[in-house]
Amino acid sequence: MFSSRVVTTSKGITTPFQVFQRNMTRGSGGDAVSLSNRRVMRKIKMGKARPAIFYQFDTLVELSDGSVVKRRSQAPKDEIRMISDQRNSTLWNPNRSDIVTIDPNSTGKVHKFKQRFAFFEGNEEQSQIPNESADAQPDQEKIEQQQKASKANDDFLDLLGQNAEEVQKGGKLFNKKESRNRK
Amino acid sequence: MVGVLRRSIVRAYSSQTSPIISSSLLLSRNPIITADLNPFEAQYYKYQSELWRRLMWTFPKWFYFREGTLAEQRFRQLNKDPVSYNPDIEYPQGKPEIRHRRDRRFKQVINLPKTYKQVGEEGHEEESLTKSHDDLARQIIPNSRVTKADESNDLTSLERKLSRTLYLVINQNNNWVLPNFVESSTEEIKALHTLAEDGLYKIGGEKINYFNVSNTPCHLRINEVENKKEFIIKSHILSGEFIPQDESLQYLWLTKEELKGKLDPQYYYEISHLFSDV
Repeated sequence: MFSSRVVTTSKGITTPFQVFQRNMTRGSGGDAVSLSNRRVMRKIKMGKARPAIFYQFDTLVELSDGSVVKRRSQAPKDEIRMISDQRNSTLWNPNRSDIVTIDPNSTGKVHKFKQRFAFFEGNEEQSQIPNESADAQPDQEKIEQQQKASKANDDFLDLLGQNAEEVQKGGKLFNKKESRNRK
Repeated sequence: MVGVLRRSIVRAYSSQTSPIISSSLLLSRNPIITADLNPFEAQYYKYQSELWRRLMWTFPKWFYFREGTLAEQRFRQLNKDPVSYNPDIEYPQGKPEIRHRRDRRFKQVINLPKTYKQVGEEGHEEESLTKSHDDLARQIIPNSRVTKADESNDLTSLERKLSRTLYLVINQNNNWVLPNFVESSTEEIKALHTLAEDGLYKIGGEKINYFNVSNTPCHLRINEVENKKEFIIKSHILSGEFIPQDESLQYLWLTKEELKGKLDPQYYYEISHLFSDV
């Protein structure tokens, strides 16, 4: 077995095991030297420890079936309304057939806005469908046309007219991929 | 030795007719809300929660409410800064110790901007008429712990005593007992729990969703008067309702204390350990 005897040498105190001492080092001359006393870890005495508790609010949580639970919460809200939880989840209620699930996105301001202005929203979604016959044209041309079409879709180029070309602004960036393909 | 024992048992049983095997149903409705606290417990929890509040760190307002936003402005209107320390002034109640706009001597109390319209606010009267019960922005008001059934003292309702466990008892020959079922035909042998289930559906209708704790009975009660062995099957009612199929059948949902008053003392003494105190 290990000997637990402390061996004292001229170089200082050593033990059979290597003992780590915080803020201490063995000096070349002899005795242990304290490096710094600025940040000494104090031992926490009994009854002196203070728990780390973030600020917590008393929050009322309304579950989807109308039951209300009071709990503590770090979030600055004193009321939370659950739209989907264990009370209307089919996973937790296998025997119930009357569960009504609400769309979780149908509650906020965005939904209200969409409801009000849904009329204007519909126009945007009309997508331009290329009407040329694809077989007659070579592949390179086809790709170019598609690129043009996609550009026209997402930019304001269509406001300028039919044959508007995008103005090149700034220098051309070196494209590693393309240069590799050219070789 | 074993042979002697067996012989003695056989002799003991041979003297009387074989007992009727029956299964009793201990159908309970578990508590729906938290248990009621006694005054000491209430005081204890109040002390602990106040201690908890006192030890809480300062609310990181800078994290949740960014400076210059509307939400922060609303927050600042509700939460005024505490009195700051001025060395020229004498403070008889103690010097204020302000860190992050909070007096560290006391617990921090924070008022939050409400997400709903409060009573007496502008335009509340108009909106309350138009807003339906389904409105998701309405104020959350906890339901009462005392239900209508409690007020009218309706002992047959499942919505009474929400914080207690209720047990189903029925009236048999002017005696309140747990529902007990005997097998009708001797040829077909049923398991005890299926016997109890069939019996329950027969007297209480099919509209009961219940959970059988175990197929093994939790207790055997030997009824010497009727020469009966009553195996007690434990189960919980999850949803649905006990609707008596026979008009004359009387039934009650009772707590442990109430059972003590209703049941026969000897009967209660034998099975009281099966009932929950909560």
